[in-house]
Amino acid sequence: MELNEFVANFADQFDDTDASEITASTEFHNLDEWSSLTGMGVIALAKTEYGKAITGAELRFCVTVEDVFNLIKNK
Amino acid sequence: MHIDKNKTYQLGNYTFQNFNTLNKEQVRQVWEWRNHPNIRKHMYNKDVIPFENHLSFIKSLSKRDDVTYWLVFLNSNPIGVTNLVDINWIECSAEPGSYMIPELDGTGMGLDFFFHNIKFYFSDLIGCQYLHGSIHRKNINALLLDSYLGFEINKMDLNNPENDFIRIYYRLSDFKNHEVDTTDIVKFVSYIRENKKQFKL
Repeated sequence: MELNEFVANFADQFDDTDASEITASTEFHNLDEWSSLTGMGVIALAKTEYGKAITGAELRFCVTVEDVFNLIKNK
Repeated sequence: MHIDKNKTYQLGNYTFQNFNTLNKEQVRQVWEWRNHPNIRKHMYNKDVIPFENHLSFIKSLSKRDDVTYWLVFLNSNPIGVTNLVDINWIECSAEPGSYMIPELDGTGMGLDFFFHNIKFYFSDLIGCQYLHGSIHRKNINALLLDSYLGFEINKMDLNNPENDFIRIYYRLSDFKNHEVDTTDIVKFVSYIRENKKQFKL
């Protein structure tokens, strides 16, 4: 599981946000397009791409995209 | 259709406590949630509501037959608020509305919460035959969620860009024939991806 690849997959969850806006250090909760539905997209991504189950509650405690990466990696 | 405003209803792990029976602490808690920026931005009235107005509103509910509100619990923990407005006792119809408490936003619990609200209204506990409503066309997430849960979206409204609001409908018979899996987030996300384009002009 590579950080760069994960950041790209994370950025794929957004329709209107330019992928270049999303980096490992992006505080994703502050993005205009972030919503509970985008969050569910990330939960689904963790399951389908990485075979890991994360919860919305865990996602809420993540600040940056890299935090989500580490959450999934350490599962 | 029947609503006992002094009764607390149970549906599976969900509990529906009527606003008529809220204690002082709960009344204040609901007021704080309702005024949270993430909640009021979705309301018709987006202004901050003074506490006195909130109290008057809660008090007025006991005398009204056209609207009713419940505080919803999941396994004894508050999860959100749901309500019926425009209640028609002859046609057994109403317009539902719901919001989850701000602390639970983004936890993925919303899908099951909204589904259980609909199930509650269509259950023998309340006995609705028909639910209806309207959603602002910019609120694509709400349109997608309601569509996934089985609401019929008015295509004429959807295809007319001059209509800011899109009407939605749900009949009891359709609800009984609509299978929804609220535990499979992957399935729900796939549905969102496949259907998002039809709601974007």
